Amino acid sequence: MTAGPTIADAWVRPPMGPGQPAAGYMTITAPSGSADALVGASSPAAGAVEIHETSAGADGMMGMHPVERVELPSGSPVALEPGGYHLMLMDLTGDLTAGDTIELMLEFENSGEVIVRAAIREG
Amino acid sequence: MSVPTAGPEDEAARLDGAFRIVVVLALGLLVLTAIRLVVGGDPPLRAGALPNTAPATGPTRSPTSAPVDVEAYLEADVRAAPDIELTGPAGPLSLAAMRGRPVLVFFGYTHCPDVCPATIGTVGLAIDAYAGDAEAVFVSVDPERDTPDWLAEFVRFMPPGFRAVSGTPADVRATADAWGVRYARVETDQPGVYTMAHTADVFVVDRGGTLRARFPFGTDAPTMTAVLAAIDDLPPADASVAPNAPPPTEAPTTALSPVLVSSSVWSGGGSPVIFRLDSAEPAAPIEAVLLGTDGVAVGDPVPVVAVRPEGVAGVSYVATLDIPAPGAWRVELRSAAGVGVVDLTALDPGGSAALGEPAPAAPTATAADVESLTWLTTDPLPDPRLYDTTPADALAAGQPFVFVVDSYRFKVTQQCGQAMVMAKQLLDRWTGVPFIHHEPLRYSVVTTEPVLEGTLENPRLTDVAAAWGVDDGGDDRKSMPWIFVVDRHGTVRAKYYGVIGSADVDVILTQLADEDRTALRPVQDGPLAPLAAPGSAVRVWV
Repeated sequence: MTAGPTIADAWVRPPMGPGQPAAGYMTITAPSGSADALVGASSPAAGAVEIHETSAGADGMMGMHPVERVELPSGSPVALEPGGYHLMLMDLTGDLTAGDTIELMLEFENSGEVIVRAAIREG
Repeated sequence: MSVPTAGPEDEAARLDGAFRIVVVLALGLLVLTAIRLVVGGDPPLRAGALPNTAPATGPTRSPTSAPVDVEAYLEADVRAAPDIELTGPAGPLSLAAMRGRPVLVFFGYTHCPDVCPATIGTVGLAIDAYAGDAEAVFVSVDPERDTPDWLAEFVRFMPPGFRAVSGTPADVRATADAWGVRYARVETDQPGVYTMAHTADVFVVDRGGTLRARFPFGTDAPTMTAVLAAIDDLPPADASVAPNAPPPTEAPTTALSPVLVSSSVWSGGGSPVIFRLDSAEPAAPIEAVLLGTDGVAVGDPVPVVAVRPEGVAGVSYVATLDIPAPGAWRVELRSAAGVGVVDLTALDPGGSAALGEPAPAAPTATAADVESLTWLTTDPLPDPRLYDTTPADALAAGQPFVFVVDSYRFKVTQQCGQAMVMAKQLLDRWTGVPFIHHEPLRYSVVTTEPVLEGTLENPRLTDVAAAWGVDDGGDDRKSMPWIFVVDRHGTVRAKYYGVIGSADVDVILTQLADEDRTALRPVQDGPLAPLAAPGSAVRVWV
C-alpha cells in the first residue's frame, strides 16, 4: 500500500542577515490515488515555520503571503521552489551553515506527519 | 497513514522505496499528462512557471544544453540606463560612475526570504561564471527597514562586490519609476509587519552605461552569463533615445519632483492619482494636467488636493484625472514655483464599477440575514464589522463605504486574501466608515464547510460581484481582489485591484473626510487610530 507523500530534494537557504527567516524548498508527490495537502510544518531549528507562496500579480509585482495549505494532487509532483511555494522558517534557533542538514517535520492533511532532512545550501 | 518519527536508517529505506514509487509515478504522470492534453484544462500557473523561460530552478541544477536565445533578453529599444544615485553602507553610489564594467541591477528588500535571495544567488553565480568584471547593485524599495546600518549587515550575506543601496522614500520611488520597477507595501495579519511586492527583473547595463537586457524572475544563471558575454560582442550603442523609447527620467524643470504613489490607475473618467513630492519645502501644486508620452496636454488642468492622513508623515496630493485610454501617460503638476512631471500607466477598467458613477445597487446580505457568518465569508476568523452593513444602509446614513471583494478560501489570483487583511487593519483606523466584505464566488455551506459551486477555473459569480463587474476586464483580470471606495453620495471614487498598497485607501478616505468636513461637521472629532495598529480615539461620521 502507499505510504504518505514522497519528498525529494529538500533544501533550505541560509537566512540573509541576523534574525532573518530562512526559506525551505522541496518537491512533494502524493501517491497516485490519494490526493493530500501540506497543512503545516515545524522544525527544531526554528521557532515557527509557515507555508508561504510567492506570486506575481496582474502588473508583474511579486509578493509573498502565508497560505494554509498546498494541495497535492494524486501522483503529481508539487514543487516548493524559489518564486513559488516555500516554507518560511522563522525565529531560527541557531546558525544555518551550508553543508549541514536540519530536520523538518511536515504535516499532511491525510497522511499525518513526515520528517525529512533538508540540506542547507545557497541555491 | 501517519509515519512515526523516523531515524536516518528508516529515512534511507523510505527513500529507496520512494525512488521506486517515483519511477512508477513518473510513468503514471506521463499517462496522466497525455490524458490531460487530450481532455484539456491547464494547471494553474504558478509564479515560478513563467512561460518562455526556464522553470525557476536553484542555481545549482545543471544548465540546459540548448543554446541560449540571447535575443529574447535584449532590449528592443536601447537607451541610456536611468541613473541610480542612492546610498549604501559604502557611501553614495552613482551608477553613471560605474561605467567601464557591466552592471546587473535589481530591486528588492532585505526582509524577503524567497525572491530576493534567489535573485542574489543567481546573479552571483552568473557573475562568477562570466569571469569578467561585472558588478551588481541591489536597490532596496523598503528604506524604512533597510537603513544604511541594516544594509551593512545584509551585504555580508551577499556575494563579494555586490552593492546594496537605498535612500529616502521619494528618491527610491523616483529611481524605481525611472527603471519601470513597481512596488508596493503590503500589510500582513500582524500590525506593523509588512512585506513588499515588487517587480523582480534583473537589468543589465553595459560598459557604456546603456540598458541592454533584462531577465525576468526565474532566468537561470547560465542564461545570464551567456547574455553578458554576448553583450560584450555587440557594437557600442548610440546612447540617444530611440523615438518610441520610454521618456527620459528627468522632468523638464525640477521645481517639483513628484513621485507616483497610486497602486492602480485606471483609464476612463475620474481616476484619482496620488502623488508625493520629493523636496523639503515643496511649493504645493495647484493643478495637474494629463500629457501624452509626446508631452502634449490632453484635456483641461484639474485642481490638486493636498491630503494628510493622521499620523502619517508627509502630505499626499490627489489629482482626479480623466484618462482617455489605457497605457503610458504623463502627468504634469504645476505650482507657483514651477512644474514637475511623472510617468504613469493607466489600466483598462473593463466592466468594473465605473469611477465617478453611482455604485452598483445590488443588495448584499448582512449577518442578520444568515444563520452563521460562514454563509457570508470563508474566513474562519471573520471580523463581524465587515458584515453588518449593506451599501444601501451606508448610503441611507450618508456614509462613505469601502467595498472589499475578496475570498479567504477560494483564491483565483495569488493576491486573494490580502485585501481582507488590509480591510481589517483599515477598519481599526477608520472606525466610523463601514467596510463591507463580499465573497464574489458562489458557494454553499455543507455542514459547516464552504463548498464552491463550480470549480476555481470555472466558478460562478454572485449577482453582486457581477453587478460590480469584477471579472469583466479580459483574460488577465480575475474576479478578485478588489477594493472600491464609495463616497457618501454613492459615487465610486477609487478602486484598486490585485496588489494593493496600503497607503492608497487611507489617502482616499482622508480625502473624502476632508471633503465632507467642509460640508458637514462630524459629531465627534478626534485623531484617527494610527495606521496598522489598533487604536485610540475615533472619528465618527454623521
